[in-house]
Amino acid sequence: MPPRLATWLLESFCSYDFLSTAKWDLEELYLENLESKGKTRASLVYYQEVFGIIIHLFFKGKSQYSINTTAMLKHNILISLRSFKRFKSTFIINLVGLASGLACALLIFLWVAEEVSMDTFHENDERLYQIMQNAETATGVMTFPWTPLLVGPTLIERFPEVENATTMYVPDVDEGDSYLGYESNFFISKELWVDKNFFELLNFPILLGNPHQLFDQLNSVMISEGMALKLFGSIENAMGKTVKLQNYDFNKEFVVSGIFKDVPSNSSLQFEALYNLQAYVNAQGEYFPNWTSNNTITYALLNQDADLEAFNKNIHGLTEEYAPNAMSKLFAQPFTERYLHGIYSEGKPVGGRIAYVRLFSAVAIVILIIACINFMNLSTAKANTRLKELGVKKALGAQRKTLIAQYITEALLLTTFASLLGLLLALTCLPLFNNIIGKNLSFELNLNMIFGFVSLILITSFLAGSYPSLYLSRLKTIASLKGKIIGSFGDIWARKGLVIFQFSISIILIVSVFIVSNQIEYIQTKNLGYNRDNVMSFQTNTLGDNEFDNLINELERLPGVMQVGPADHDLTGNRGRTSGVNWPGRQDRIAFLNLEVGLGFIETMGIEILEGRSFSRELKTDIGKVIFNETAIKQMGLKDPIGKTVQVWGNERQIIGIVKDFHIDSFYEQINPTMINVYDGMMSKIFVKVKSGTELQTINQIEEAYEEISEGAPFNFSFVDSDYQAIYEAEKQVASLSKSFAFIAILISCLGLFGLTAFNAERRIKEIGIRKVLGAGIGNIVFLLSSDFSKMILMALVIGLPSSYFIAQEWISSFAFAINLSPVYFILAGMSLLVIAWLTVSFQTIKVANQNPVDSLRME
Amino acid sequence: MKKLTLGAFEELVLLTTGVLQDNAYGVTIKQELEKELKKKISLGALYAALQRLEEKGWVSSRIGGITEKKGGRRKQYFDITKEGISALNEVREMRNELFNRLPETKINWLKS
Repeated sequence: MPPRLATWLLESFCSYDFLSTAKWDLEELYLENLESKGKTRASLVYYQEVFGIIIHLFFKGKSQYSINTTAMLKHNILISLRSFKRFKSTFIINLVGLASGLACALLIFLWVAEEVSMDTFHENDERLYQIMQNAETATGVMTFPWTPLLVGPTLIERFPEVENATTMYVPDVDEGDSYLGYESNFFISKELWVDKNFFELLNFPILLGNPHQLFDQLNSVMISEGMALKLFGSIENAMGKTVKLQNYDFNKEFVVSGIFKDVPSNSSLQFEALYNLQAYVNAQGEYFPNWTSNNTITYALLNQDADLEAFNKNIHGLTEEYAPNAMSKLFAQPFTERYLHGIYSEGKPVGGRIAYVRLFSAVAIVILIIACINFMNLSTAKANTRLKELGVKKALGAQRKTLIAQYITEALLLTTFASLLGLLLALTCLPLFNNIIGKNLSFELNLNMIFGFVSLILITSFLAGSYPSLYLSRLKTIASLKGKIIGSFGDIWARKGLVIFQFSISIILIVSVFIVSNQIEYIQTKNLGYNRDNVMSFQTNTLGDNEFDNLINELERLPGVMQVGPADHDLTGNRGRTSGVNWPGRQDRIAFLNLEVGLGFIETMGIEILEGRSFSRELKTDIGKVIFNETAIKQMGLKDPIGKTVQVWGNERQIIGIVKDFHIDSFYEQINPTMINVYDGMMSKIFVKVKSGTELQTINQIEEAYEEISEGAPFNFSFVDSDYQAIYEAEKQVASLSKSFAFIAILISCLGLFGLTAFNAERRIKEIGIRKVLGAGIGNIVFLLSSDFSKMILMALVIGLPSSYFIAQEWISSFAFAINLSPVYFILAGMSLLVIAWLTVSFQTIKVANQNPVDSLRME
Repeated sequence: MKKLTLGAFEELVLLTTGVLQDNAYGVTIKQELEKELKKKISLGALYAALQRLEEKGWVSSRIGGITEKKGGRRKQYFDITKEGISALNEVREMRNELFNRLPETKINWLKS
């Protein structure tokens, strides 16, 4: 069957006789195309032809082929265009307002579409689940995605509802970057270690080679098209070549056995190389396949009729059956849900990026509504200038339906203009927007996009046109012919209410801008308990123990280097956690953050020692001793802790010092009990405190030293400060986006206010003239004209400020460390809105008040 | 009375209608034209042209037989009329006459 919407369109524009001809021909074409080109193409051609016919009828057709609808549409469009021409300022205000609103909505729509499409490209995405674990700890349930190696095979074997499962090892961020190279040409490459079911569950197309080879041979690797081009210039060249993998665990050669297509950006799994999981398992110790080591990621494909809840109940105690002292429970979460719902509380997903998706969708809708309100207000306010037209139409027998159609057409026409302008705006702002959100979005001309765009236009025009059309079509024929329009109490309040709504939203946005930017400022400047200025770090994955010591010695000799300290973890989020600590008088298990560092780390980071001493470089015996932070000592309840011993993973360790609390997690969390263990030998990172002013030169020297020792492995460094800033990327994005959106919302609201004031002043021009003749001063007139609006703005403040307080509190409470919500923010926001609104209004009122009364009174 | 004119596209449509004889209706005319002109033609443009031709009296239309396949829907067939033929002739004669007046030397010179 041809698409119904198109047929309906045809029916509403063609005369009865012509309709059957056109329908007959179109259907024949459709059926032919259906066979030769497929359903989508055929429907598309059908639509195209229908629009072609309607356009020809509209512009060139004669009456016998078309019906009244065409003529009415022609008439409505003509009248709308004339009214745009007649009320130019209103038209421009509406156009600019709607265009900027639509541009915002389009950009957000693009972003939301990308977020929502994450991981949905897998063929069986609806039945694909990730196996997760919940572990009970003293501080609550901790949820993590790592599972024991054997979970996948066990699920397939024991549960009939599991159709298939795949296990993979995803290298931890802790392990640093991984490099893949051919001859001396090395590139950073993310890798996965996968098992033979990988390609069966997940859709990553293979361009060359056979995946079986990867799983049959331990030394083979599949690389991405992009990686192949970088290393070999073409994908054919890459096949069979020997490449070298260098990372934390490996320095080993692999043979390229296949090429897969580059992983799309809407995949949460990102990788450029695939290796055989078995090769990884073999390289690890015996602990790896244990049911108590959680190292791998498991995805399961469930049957069509499997019930998630029942399945979760079944696998709940699985780990306990194999490892009686395992503390964690398995559960499955839909794979596509993981990206947007990635934050867990009490073992259940409670949110994540979905919060931003919702937030921005809400912002887009609100901005669109604000823009629509302008249209509603201005058209209803202008009603009495078009009363005669209405009256004549009604007297000639126009039905309410026809009038509604007219105003909707006007809104549709305006929205279409605005959306074209908005599209242009959005295209211009896209690079900027991409920059802020750190993505690479683009407008792609596909069916979904066009459908979204058209429905955006339709929804907006119905939203904008609904109230004016209902309001205007309701007016009485005789009253409107006489030119008398008595705005009922309700109508005036509706208009005022809409303005109040606009400005309440604006005030909420202004307050959010204040609060968000102050909180970000606070985070960035707060004393963290360590000094991150001029500290840089780089990775040393590929060195041996001796080379590593040489490098440290080498670095210490450089003039610009103040301190050097290696570590396996860092202070911006990469760290381990353990509850394997025992101490005299222990009651509860505590999950400690476990920082594994080398000698000199504490000094490099400037962490303050409160009691005892730091690890000493001279005393080799300090290896195997331990330092805690204040919070840890407090939670453990130890008195005089210095010199006491605790058991860490069964080994006795003496406490030699206590450090002052420092921030290691983000500001969303309280400071956690932290244990610092010291080791010598190779560590994954070296931190260097550089003398300020010599950064560039010193970094060059460090690079030289490193490259000499590492024999050409790439040097990859970053400053701790910028790593720290990166944790709050999302907040910064929200801050800059809320600024732009607040600006646009206020701009649109003010445009509306400007239009209303202009209209109001114009309407009362005689009254003002008479007042001036009778001796009213400019001040009086300005006051008269602005008092109405001031009342509305004040009303908006009364509504907006408390709501913004609740919203701000909600956001602030998600941080463990946050600014106080002092009244200053709210007063400042209220004042700025008042000033902006007053400026807008006074621009018009002062102009009117200054007019010579002769001009305004002379007209008759 | 104003003299009726035959546009270039109308001429093509009129010719095709004549060529197709008994089987000239929307789809066949469109397909024949597309084949000859090697470009897409929208049904809307075709109908508009046919409509103008019908108004000028150069094509006539009749409602065609009810086919079983189409569930008895009416099909509009077009036929070229006598006046249509003479209009085509007129256009052709005028064109030929103009062409014949092209200086032969010029044609030969341009050809070489």
